[in-house]
Amino acid sequence: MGRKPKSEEERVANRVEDLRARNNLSRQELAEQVGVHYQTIGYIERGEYSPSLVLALRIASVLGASVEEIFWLDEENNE
Amino acid sequence: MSNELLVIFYILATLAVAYLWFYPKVIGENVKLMAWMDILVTGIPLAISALLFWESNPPLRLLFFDLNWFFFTLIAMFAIELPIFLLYLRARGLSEKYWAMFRIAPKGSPDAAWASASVESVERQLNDTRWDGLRTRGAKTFLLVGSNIMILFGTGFLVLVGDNQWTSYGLIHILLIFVFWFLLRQSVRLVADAPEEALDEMMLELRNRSYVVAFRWLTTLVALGVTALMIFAVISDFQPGSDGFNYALNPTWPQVQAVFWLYFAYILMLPSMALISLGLKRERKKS
Repeated sequence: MGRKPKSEEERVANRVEDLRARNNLSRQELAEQVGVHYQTIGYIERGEYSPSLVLALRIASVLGASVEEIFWLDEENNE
Repeated sequence: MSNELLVIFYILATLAVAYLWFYPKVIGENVKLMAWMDILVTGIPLAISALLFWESNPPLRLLFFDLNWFFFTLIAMFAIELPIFLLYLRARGLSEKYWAMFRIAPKGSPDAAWASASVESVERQLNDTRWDGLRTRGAKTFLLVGSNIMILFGTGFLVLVGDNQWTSYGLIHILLIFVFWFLLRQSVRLVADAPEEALDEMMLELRNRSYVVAFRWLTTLVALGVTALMIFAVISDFQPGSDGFNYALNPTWPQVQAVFWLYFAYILMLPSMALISLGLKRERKKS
C-alpha cells in the first residue's frame, strides 16, 4: 500500500504562536534561537509547513513545553 | 629562431619577471590583486605576438595543429604558466586563500559544484525588501509567462531569420535571457540556486522539490527536441528509392544559436521558474 499524497496527509496543528507570545518572543527571535528563517516560523504557525522532528524539538525546548503540547495531528480539519 | 620558439621565449621571460619579482615583491599575499594582475601578465605576450605577427599572420605549429598567433600564444602561455602558478601558490601557502575567492558554496558543501549563489548573497536576499515588487502574485505570473514567451519567441526568430541583417537582433535575445534570469532569481530570493548551507529545512524542501519539477520540464523539452529532430530526419528522407540514410542538416549560424540559447536559457531559468510555479500553486490552493 502506497503513501497518501502530501496534499491528503494530516495537517499538523500547533500552538507555537500562543506559546511564543507567552514567552515574549518575536518570530525573528524564535527563528534565530532554533536556526531557521523568520518566515519559516510564520509558515509553521499558520500550519502551512510541518517541521521536522529536530526542529520541533528545538522549538519545544525554546518555548519550554513538550513537543506533544505544541504539535498534534489536526485530524478534524482533514476529514 | 623559429616563430614558435620566439613566442615561448618571451612567454618565459614574462613569467620570470612576474613570478620572481612582480608577484612576490609587489603583490605579496593579495590574491585578489594577483588574479587581476594575471590578466595583465597574460596580455603582455599576447601584445608582443600581435606586434610581431598581426600583419604577416604566419601559421604557428602547436604539436599537431597549425594555429594563428593569438591562439598559439594564449594556449602556450596557459600550458607553461599553469604548473608555475600552482607551484607558486603552494610554495607561498596561498592556495587555500586563492581558490576560496572563486568558491561560491562553502568548502565541502554537497552543492559546491552547482550552487550559483553564495551563502552571504542568499542571506542578504532573504532579508531584502527592495525587490518585493517582483514577489507579488502578479509579478511572479508575469515573470513565468514572460520568460517563456521571450525564450520561445527569440528561438523562433533566430530559426526563421536566416543569415541576414536581422541576425544581430539575436543579441537582444541573449541579453533578455540574462535579464529574465536575474529577475527570476531576485523573485525567488536566489533560493533555487543556493547551496544548502544557506537554507533552512523548509526552504531546502522547497528548493529540492523545485529541482524535481525543473528536471521533469527539462526532460520534456529535451524529448521534444530530439523527437522533432528524428521526425525531421525521417520526413526529409521520405523519398521513393531512398536507402534511408540520405539526409543532411545544414543549419545556419542563427539556427545553431537558437538551439543553443533555447537550452541554455532553460537550464539557467528552470529551477527558479519551477520554484515560482510551486509557490503560485500553493497560493492558489490557499485562496
